[in-house]
Amino acid sequence: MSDQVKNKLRLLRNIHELTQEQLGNALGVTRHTIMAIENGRYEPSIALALKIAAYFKLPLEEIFWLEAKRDGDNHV
Amino acid sequence: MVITMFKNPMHRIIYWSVLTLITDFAALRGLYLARPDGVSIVAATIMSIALIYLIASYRIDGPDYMKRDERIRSIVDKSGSIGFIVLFICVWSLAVFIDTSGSYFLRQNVGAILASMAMIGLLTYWLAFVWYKYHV
Repeated sequence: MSDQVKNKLRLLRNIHELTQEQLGNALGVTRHTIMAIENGRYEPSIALALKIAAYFKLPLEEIFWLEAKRDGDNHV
Repeated sequence: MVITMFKNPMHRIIYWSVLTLITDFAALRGLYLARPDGVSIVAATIMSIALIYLIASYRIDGPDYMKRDERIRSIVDKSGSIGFIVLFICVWSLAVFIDTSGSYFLRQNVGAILASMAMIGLLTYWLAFVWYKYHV
């Protein structure tokens, strides 16, 4: 078993009616990075995670949390 | 002035296209005159592949296709490691093979073989970059 960082970035983005490109521009990253974070294929740096939390004015742990991942789980 | 011109992604592609066309022309002229120049052919091939990649990236990613955010930086690091490992294994294998087999052909053409391995390392880096950027 290993831990995986989960997030609710897509939900927050939808609530704020933002496109991936708009959010990416606001945070200084590309649309692909936002997409990769939302799909769980990329774990953001602490700096970017803090920027996201500041952008949505929420505590970090409300957006990102750790979840146990079974060893057999594959994420492509 | 040159730097500001290159800030526009489309201008960057246009300038690269012009340079590629000049290199391709030089390579083709060498072939046409039956005096092929190995360097210009290799340069023309690499530049043409780079041009195709630039145009494809522009089509897929839009104007920020060369923006270096933290994910791209991590992809560059990972791809660099993979390219370096492949190059390292190739060079070591060549050294061991030359020492153990004593092949005359390998000894005579070691420069060309090393250059090919450098190309393999570069292409591995490139493929790994594209794979991580668009697939993983």
